[in-house]
Amino acid sequence: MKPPSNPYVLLAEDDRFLRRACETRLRQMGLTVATAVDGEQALRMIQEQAPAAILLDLLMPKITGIEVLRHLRAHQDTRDIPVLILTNSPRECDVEEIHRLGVSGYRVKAELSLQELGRCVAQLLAPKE
Amino acid sequence: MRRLNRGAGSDDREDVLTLPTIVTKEASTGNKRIKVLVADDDPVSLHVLRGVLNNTGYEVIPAKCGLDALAVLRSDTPPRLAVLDWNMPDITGLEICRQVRESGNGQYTYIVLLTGRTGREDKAESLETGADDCLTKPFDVRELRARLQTGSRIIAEKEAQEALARSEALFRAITEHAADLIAVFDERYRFVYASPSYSSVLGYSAQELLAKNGYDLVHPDDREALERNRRQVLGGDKGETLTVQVQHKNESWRSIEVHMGGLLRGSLNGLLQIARDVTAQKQAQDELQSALQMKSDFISFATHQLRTPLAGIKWLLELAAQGSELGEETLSLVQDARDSAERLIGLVNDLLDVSRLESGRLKLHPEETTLGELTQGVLQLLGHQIDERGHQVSVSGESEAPPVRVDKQLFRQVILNLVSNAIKYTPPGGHIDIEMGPKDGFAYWAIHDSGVGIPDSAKGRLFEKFFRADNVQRMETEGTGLGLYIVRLVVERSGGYVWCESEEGQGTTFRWEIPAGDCRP
Repeated sequence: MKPPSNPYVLLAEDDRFLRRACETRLRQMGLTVATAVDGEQALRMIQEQAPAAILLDLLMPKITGIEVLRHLRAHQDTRDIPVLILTNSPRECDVEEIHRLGVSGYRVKAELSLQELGRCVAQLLAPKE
Repeated sequence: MRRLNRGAGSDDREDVLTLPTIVTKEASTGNKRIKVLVADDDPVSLHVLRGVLNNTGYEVIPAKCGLDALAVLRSDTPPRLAVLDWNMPDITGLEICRQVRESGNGQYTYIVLLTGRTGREDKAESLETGADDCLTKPFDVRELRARLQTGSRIIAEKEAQEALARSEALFRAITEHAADLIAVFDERYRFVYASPSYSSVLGYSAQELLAKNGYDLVHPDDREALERNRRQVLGGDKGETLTVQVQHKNESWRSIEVHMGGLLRGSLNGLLQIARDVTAQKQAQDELQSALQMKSDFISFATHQLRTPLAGIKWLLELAAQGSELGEETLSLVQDARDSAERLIGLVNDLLDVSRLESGRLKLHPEETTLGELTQGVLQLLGHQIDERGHQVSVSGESEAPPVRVDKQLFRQVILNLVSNAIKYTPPGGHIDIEMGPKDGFAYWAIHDSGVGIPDSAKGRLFEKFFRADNVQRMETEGTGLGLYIVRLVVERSGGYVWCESEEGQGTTFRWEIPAGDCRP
């Protein structure tokens, strides 16, 4: 999938049901959305065209979310892209490293409604004061 | 010590008649006087001897005839010393000697025979028969005293030797029957002594080990740690307990827990080591470790694998509920499906929390916060339910409660569980009062409700896993019996405690206390 040329939100999520629900909600909000089914695809799209914000799953095939995040933060042109971590296993991964790398939010999908998710994304895209 | 004043040339026998009180050091050990049996058929002689010895500090057991004397010597506690007259009408002193020595009884009695005769044969005969000494009448009392003193010393030495032999036998029996591996090593860690248990545990006889260096049996990887420990002990420090791999004679490896007990100094130089075969425990421990690992793997599997499709259901139903073309009936079905999904998510979350907390592998993320902040967050979340039930909720003590350093997510869960219980089990329009504050270095949090209360029969088991009280079980079947269990796990894990006071039908108070944040190191 090619990333759109105008500002877009990248959704990296390997579960197709979650991807569909999330994408639908973001489009309802009038956002341009591109989706990636694994970390590798996400990285490719980011390199081609930097998104305005990224919703990043952690447990994904090929390249995990945390590896994607490390890569983003290590490069000048992607360092400042706001990232919202969406996970279902918050305790099993290295929370400290994620916070050190810098994320805008860290949410458990099963405990989040789409309505709340929408608010989170709106905050992510809000111009910084 | 007092000594008697007596004129020059005075005789000890005269002392006896005036009955002076002389207690010599030799005859008394501490406060205990040494017992001496005195046997003489002549009452005057007996009286004199009794007086002399009594005043020398001995405790005299008098015997008027030979048979009385024999009975005393054969008793369970025979005296240490005996002075026997040779010539007694019923049984002679010599015969007493023979009988006492033959029976083996009274071997710790030093026997002095008193004889009127002067022939050398008599002396020889009495000594051969088993007397320890022989004095010819009339004798010098000082000589008798001196000889008794010698006798007393000889017996004491004999007793000491016997005690030493008994003690040696005792300790030998202990080391030889101990399941532990007991060894003494020389300065180069060569075996000086190895208990017989070495042969049952490691296959080597004590004899085979004596030629060996202790390190020869130890796995090369473990030698350095053991040597470090040995140097520590040699340097006078306390040794650690190490578990090392030791090779059995049949070349298999055993896990041995080694403790270097310390240095033996004096007549026996060496390093005392006590070791134990812990191979079986080690195996069990490894198996437990791998079981725990499997449990932990399962938990993280379940976390992701169960919650991901649940989140999918939840989100897709949320989208479905927005559909404007849905009829009222369908919308209500979708809403019920959403509620049901939420319940399942809650249940999975509770189970995961319990598994993680129980396994002790849950990594806490303590952050500075206040109980007030956590409480307000929860009340906001439950505001809708509170309003629905028409409860009056009050919160007090927020500003007095000390800050705490806790895992916010877990404590939000604690408060959430307690508040939602109060909401659920209090009839509509009830009172719920939340109170918090400082308490001796702790922060406390309490919730009182005017609800159904807890029956006495349930109080003891309230915080157990899956337990539900009868009265709430009758009200609704939704609960899992995990809420209060999680509360207890989290509070206790944070160094606090939780308890409850309640009267059925009157309401309930739950209260917990955790260390205040600024008390933490």
